[in-house]
Amino acid sequence: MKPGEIAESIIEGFAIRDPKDIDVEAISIDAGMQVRFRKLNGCTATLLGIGDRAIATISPSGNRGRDRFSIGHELGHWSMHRGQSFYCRAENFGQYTKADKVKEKQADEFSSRLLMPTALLRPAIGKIRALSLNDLRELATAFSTSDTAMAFRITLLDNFPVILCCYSATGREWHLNAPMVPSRWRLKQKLDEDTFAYDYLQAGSSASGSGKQSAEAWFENSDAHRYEIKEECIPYRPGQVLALLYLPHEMLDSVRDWDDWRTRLRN
Amino acid sequence: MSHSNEDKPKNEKFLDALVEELRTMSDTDALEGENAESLVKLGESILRRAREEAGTLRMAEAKRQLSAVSNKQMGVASCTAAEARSYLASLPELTLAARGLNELSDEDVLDLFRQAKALEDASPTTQEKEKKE
Repeated sequence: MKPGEIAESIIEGFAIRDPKDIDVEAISIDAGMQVRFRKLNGCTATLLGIGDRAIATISPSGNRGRDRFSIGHELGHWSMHRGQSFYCRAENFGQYTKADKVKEKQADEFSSRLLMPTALLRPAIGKIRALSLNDLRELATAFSTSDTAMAFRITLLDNFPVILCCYSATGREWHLNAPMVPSRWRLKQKLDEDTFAYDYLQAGSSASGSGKQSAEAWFENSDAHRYEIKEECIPYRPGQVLALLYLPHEMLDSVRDWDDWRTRLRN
Repeated sequence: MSHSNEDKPKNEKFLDALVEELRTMSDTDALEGENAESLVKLGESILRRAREEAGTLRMAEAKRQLSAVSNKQMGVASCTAAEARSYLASLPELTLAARGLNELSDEDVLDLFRQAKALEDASPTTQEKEKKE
C-alpha cells in the first residue's frame, strides 16, 4: 500500500465522516505513539520508539495546523519505518541521504492524506467553481491544517487547473502543477515586474495580491500572450511569496506551439 | 486469537450471532420472501453500521487513553549526555527519527533518554508477556 492509502485506511478504520473528528493525537495513541510538545534545537520534531511503543516530540510552531501536520508526519514514520533510524525534520536539509529524503516524502504524503483524506475533501470542494486562496483558507480552517498544506493537497488532488509556485528575490524556488496542467507551460525563472507576486515581494503584505492578468507575465512560452490567468499570492517563508495560478481551460487544451519549439532549438 | 464471546464488544457479538443464524439456516429459509439483491443490501448495511460503531468505540477508547497518558510526568535523567548517547545507540528494536545522536544537543539527548526509560518502564516485561499469552 502507498503512504496515502495507509493513512486513509486508518481514517476509514475510525469511521470518521467529518474533518473535525480527525483527532490526530488520539489516532496516534491508538497506534502506540504518544505525542508531547517541547522546544527542540535544530529540528521541528523527533520520534523515539522501542518495540511497539513510541513518543513523538513536536517543537511547537505556534500554528496548530503545522503542529498537526508534524504529528501526522511522525505517525507516518511510526507506521511505515518502524525499527529504523534516520534523519527527520532537521532544519539542515543538506544532511539528508537519498533514502532519508524518500522516507520524508512518504511521511509527508501520509500526513497530508491523514489530515485531508480524499473521501472527506472531495465533497468539501464540490461546490467550489474556481479555486481561490480564500477557499483554500476556509478549507484549511475546516480541516485544521495550515494554508500551505491545504494548497499542496488541493493542487495534487487535480480538481482544479492550478499551479502553486514559490519565488524569492533570487528567482523561482519551486513549483507544483496540478496533474491536469500540461507540462509544456514553462514558468519564468524570475518574477516578472507585472505580476502581483513581484509587488507583494517588494512591498510586503500591504500590496494587493490578487487579480487577472496576461499569462505572458508568468510563462516563457511564446503563445502565452493569448491567454489570461488568475493570480493570487500570499507571503510564505521570510523573503518568499507563494502564488496560486488558475489557468483557463483553453490553456489545458492548447496544442504544443511548434514555432516556440523551433525558436528554443535555434537558441 | 481465542476470545471468549463475553470479551467481545457488543457489535462483534451481534455479528457473530447473525453469521451463526445465517450459517445454520437452510437456503430456502434464508431466501424466503426476499430476493438475493435486497438480502445483499441488508447485509451490507448491517456491516456498514457495525464498522461505524466499531470505529466510534475505537476513537472513544483512544481518547480515554490520551487523557490518561497526558497526566503522566516523565522521570529525571540520572546520567550524562555521553552515557545517554551510548545507551540509545545500544538499544535493540529502536526507531529513531531525529538528527544524528552526535548532532543533537545534550539537552535533547537527555530528553530522548528519559523517553526511552519511560517507554521501557511502560512496556510489559517478558514474564508479563508470557503470562498474558
